Amino acid sequence: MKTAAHRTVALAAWAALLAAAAPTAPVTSAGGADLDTTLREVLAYRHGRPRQALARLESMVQAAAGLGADAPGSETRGALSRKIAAALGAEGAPEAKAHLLKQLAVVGGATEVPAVAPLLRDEALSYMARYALERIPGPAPARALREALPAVVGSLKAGVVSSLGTLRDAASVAALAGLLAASDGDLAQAAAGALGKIGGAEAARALSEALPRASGRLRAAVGEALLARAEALLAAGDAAGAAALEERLCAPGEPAAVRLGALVGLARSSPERALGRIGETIAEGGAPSVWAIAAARELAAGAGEAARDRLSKLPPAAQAAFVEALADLGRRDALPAVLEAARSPDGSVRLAALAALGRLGDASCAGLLAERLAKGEVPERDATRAALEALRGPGAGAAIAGLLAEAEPGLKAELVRVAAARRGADPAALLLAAATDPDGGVREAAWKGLREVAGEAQLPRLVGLLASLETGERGLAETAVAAAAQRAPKGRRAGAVLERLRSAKGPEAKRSLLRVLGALGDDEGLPGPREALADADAGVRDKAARVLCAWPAASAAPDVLAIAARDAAHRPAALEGLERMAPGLLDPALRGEIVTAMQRIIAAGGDAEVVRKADAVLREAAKPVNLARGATAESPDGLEPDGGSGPDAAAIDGNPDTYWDETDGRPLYRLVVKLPRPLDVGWIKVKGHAYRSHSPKDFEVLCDGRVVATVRDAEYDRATNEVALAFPPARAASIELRITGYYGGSPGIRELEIYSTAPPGAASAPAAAVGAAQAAAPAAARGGSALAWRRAEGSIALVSGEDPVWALAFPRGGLKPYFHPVALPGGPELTWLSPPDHPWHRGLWFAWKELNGVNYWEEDGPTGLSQGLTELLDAKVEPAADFSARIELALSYHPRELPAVLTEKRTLAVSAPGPDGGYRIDWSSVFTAGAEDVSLKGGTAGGGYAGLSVRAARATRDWRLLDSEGRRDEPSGGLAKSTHGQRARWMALSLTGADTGKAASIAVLDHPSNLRFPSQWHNVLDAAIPFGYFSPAPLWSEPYTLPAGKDLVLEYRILVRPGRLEREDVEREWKAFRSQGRREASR
Amino acid sequence: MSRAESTLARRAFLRRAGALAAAAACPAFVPSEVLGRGGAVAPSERIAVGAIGVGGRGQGVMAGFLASSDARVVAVCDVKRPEREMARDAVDRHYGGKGCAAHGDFRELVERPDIDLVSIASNDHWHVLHALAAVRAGKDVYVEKPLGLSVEELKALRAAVHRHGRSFQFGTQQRSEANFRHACELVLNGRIGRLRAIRVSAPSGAAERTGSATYEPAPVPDGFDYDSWLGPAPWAPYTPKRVVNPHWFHISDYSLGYVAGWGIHHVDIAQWGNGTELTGPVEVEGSGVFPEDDGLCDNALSWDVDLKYSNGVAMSFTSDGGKNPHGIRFEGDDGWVYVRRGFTDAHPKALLGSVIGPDEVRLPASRGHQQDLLDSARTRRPTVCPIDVAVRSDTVCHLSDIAMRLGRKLHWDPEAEAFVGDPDANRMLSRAMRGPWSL
Repeated sequence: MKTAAHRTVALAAWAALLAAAAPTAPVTSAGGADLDTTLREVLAYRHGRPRQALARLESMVQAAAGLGADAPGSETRGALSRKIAAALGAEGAPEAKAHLLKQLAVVGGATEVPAVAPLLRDEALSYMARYALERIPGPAPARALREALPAVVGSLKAGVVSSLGTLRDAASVAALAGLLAASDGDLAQAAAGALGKIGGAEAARALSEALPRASGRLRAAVGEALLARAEALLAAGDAAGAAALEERLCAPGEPAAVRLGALVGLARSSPERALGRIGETIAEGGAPSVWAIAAARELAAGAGEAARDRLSKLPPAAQAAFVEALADLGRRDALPAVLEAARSPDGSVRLAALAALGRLGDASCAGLLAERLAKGEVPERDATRAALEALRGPGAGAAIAGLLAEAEPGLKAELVRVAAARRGADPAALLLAAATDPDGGVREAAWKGLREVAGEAQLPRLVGLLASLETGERGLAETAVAAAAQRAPKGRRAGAVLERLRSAKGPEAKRSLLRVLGALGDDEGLPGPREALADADAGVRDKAARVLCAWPAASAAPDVLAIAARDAAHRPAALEGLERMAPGLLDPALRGEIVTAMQRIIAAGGDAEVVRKADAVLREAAKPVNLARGATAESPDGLEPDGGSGPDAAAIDGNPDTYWDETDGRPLYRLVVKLPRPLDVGWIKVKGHAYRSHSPKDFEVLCDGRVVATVRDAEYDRATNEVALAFPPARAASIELRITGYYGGSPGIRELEIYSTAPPGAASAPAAAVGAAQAAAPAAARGGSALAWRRAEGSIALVSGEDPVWALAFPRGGLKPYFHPVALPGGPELTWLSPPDHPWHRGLWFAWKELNGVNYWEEDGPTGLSQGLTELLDAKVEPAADFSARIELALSYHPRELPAVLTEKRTLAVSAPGPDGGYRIDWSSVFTAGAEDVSLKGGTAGGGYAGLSVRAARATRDWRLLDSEGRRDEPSGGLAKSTHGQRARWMALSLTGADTGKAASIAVLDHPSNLRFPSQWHNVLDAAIPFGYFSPAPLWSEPYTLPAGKDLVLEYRILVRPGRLEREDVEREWKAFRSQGRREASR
Repeated sequence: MSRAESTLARRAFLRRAGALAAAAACPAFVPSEVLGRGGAVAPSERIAVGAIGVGGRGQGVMAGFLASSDARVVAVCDVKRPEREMARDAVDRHYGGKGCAAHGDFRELVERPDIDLVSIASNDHWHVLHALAAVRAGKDVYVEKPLGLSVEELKALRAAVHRHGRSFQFGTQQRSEANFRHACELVLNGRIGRLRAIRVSAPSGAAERTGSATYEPAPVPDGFDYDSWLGPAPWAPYTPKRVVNPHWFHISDYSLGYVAGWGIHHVDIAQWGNGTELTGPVEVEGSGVFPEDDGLCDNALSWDVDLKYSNGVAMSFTSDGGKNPHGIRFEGDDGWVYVRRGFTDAHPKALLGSVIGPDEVRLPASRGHQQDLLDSARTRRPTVCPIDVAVRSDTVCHLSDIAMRLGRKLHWDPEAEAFVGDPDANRMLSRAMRGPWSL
């Protein structure tokens, strides 16, 4: 920023100069130019020309003001002001002199007024002369304005009048009063405004006399000025005077806004008179009755002990507002009035009073509220319950508990709900007692409350209650126990349940406790169902097997495998469980056992569904598994983390965006991965920080301290920057890299993966060191280069020569999948990943904004995680020999550490690039709501954005948006002018690669069966940032609720083409897309 | 603290998070002229909204009113004909039909007796004049941030809003987002111990400036009432960059720049969490970098300001994202809370799940920023960002701007709303308006 000056530094230097300078010394700026030179340059200034001289003068002036009036150098400040004032008489354009006047507003004094005053009559400078005069202290400016008033004509006169008002010039009142009758409306209104500001009896008299004669805007202006007068009277202690004036302004003939202001003012100056007026105003009906509510609220502000009296005098329509305001204002002293209102015959007043009691009341009100809770009708009962829940102060909770003990069953259940919702001191004890109440309604309310408030402390008692339960609340009780256990710290959740299960007698109780253990899914509770497999009762054995098969963690896999092998009845459930658990299994031996068992089941034949499931398990178990995912990482080399390095675990966290890196240029770096137990290992895969930059080059691999491989000049894959390496199989608990050589300054590692067999995509034959997974297909002449697939864990890319045509990332760990880059063979790239302005923009991607109020859109910088996670559950990638691909992703949307609220099955069919290199992506997403309704809401800045989005590549230009209705947009700064917020069946963005000059287009086509088709679009084209973005936004106009268990299907086609797409091109494609019908049937 | 303010202080602390209370209480006593019966609002009984300033941001604000079944947008106003016609068409498309009027003169809009509420998102130098006209015509107002170009403007609007008993919502919509509210409640309820420091950073927008040394005058485009666009600002020849958003934010005749334009969002939350939303700092000192090479832009390109409050809290307010993380970080003796849009973090982490109890300070909850004003228009209860709060938050931005321009430590008296014994600094609190416009 070479031409911007740091104001403080410049000011400090200049202030020092000023302080040191003798009054006659030439004034010099920090930049070196003296004041005379600067003023000459300022006088030469013209609009839109360079402002250096202006900025320099401004610095000098602000430095002078910055010294303070009494500081040393104030004499120099006088010289500065005088010279500026003198320059006003020199040759110069109005804009130059306007700048001088602006400076005099900061430092000018009485001495400069004579130079400024004549300019009040100057059409081009009158305003800026006032600008200076309004700020110059002392009586001189007002005198100058007053004297100029008769001579100033036309539109300038109103300005001078306003300035006299701003300066509160009492000596001008007579002259201004005369102007109230001016034929120029602006002038008369300015006079009214000025008189209002000046105030005083004389001004008020002039305004009062003018009021009956005034009409239209002038009458409103005079009324406004008189309202200000009334306020001033009240402030000066003349409440009667204020009230008299306000009563006059309340009259029906006055402008509406003046009447309202007067009524509100009257409520302050004379509550008694206001009470009468409020009734009359409400009787008028229409808008005035709303003002009465505003006035009633104002009355409440000063009510105090008079509240009860005032309440009784107000009409019912205003009573509720009055009571509401008492509560808003926290007027506990007005409690008697509120209690009275609670007995009002008017329902709306009673309702407001009950709500107010919750906020103003105390323990003494609990009885009254409980009585109403027992007897009231629906809206009143709701308000009463809310009031009891809100009741505060010492003893309120105890009072409610006392009432509860005495209450008959109906009220008791209500009070139990209240106690639970209050979450005060300790509602759990009270709820535990109520859980054994003879009345079913009370018990149900108690269990529901316990589900919300009980925690670890109540767990033993809850478990005991559940085990001894003989009544019908078993399901509720189980969820309450599970919820309480979930609130305990990890490792202390299942103990109490397990203990009770071991001593339980009845099969009902055992089954309940097993269900709780299953719902918890905590490994500490795993012995429960294991032991129960040997229970004498068949029902208990069945429940135990089912709980194991549904166990959420992979730790139950050996048990489930045993069930699958020997228990035909539970085999289907066991196979489903194994398929789910298999991806998380690290132990190669166990995986091997699963493969063998599945082969047996398949070989035995029988039920086709069972065989199909066994085959699915077999495939999953046979996949190579990255053992590092269950491990810990450390770097015992004593070196400090470097730059953007994450913790040591960043090397094995499955997220290639984070990495491990340490201080540059050291001879030895160590990274040790510790497996949870000794496992069979034989391969590693390393993803370096960048290709041939900050990546390991020479290193040894050690298993449990023994060198198993030595690598020199590691050769990474250009596209993925990965290298896979096989070594003699070993069983080891630690794998270490000792790195002695590196590309760039240090050996950064984005991911270190450990396998027992060849990792995905790697050549299956072990070799000393091999390049990364690369399944080069037969060369195909498209775009001049051979196409090939590049695959890695969590990504797939189609490359042309060395350059990606498209790449899809589908990382695990709660990060969103995305396409980036989306490009054409030979360029350009069309998308941008994580631009600095919105790092969560990910090329071509899909993200919801808010699900049930939780944000899934923005991401936390360091982790890339949103508040709500978009979690990859499963990915099936099928690249074809013709370079088309089909990808299926299973995704789950959930707040951190909470169950899924929504799941998605996403199917992406990417066509093979055509002869021109273009291709299409058919995108289908089937969203399914979980057990609760899901509220989907978009963002708000200019529309409810959320959904499929495209962020245009940085290195592109000539952006053009075109939609199905023929609207076009070019960058105009901010939201796209024509297409943003509009409905369209498709939207096409064309652009030019900045480096190649090649034009390309990307279009998104909305399927007619989509929600709110044709979609509204959220489009931004701002070349300055640069920010090019477009998105079909189904939530643009309003949120959407997806009912529990229901599906929402969204299907789009994305076209990627060279050149600029024209309307007919996309229209043809859209018709073809429409005629396909929906590919994914709604369930 | 004035009477109206002390009233509001209590309101702010005592008003309960109350969608339920509002829903239960509103229909009971609001006249049928304003609110329909049985929960559904009949079209004829919706709150009639007029929107002044309907460019990109203005249409964004207006969308919040369009989205509410309690409102009906009946008129738009803009000095740019294409913008107002585009906005009018958007409104008509939204409701179906041709009911929306398009005005070029805001006075015609505010004087319409059929309009209840005016939404204002004009240029910064017009905000207060537009709002004053609406309030003096008896309308409730939504005013886009920042509030005004001088502290005097803020005070004039505050007086008028109280005088006419109007509902007012300031466009600091972060107050309607639950994570900001929760963060402030954690601080106000002592979850991080005694609050010591607040670190705030906001973007400076410096990259939006073209940085040209010269700007050529150009013919005023057809359909653009340029003189009315300038309004109270000095006359200057038309050149496109003078009027284009966001370039005009960087010109001091029309704006204070991002120190107020963006800074206000986070400053407002800092004031909320500090419990100083109805007062202000007592000391301010800072520096800014100003352009000298630009033929139009003269607002700060970056800033770094330190403020102190009488409760001992020190606030650092900067555009330097390296110094303070973007957002607001409250630091106390026992931990910290950090909040920005869509994200909250805290130490200790457990604070994030901390529930505010019934006897604790609860800040008002909003059903949405525009909806909150519509709710207030019916009940006359205060909005989440009423005028007294808006003036105080905006003032912090003004103090920051003045301090960096004067380059010395300034002492502020929040009670008197003036600098202490500093006539030079006090001169910076007002600026005259080009006639016929005045406060």
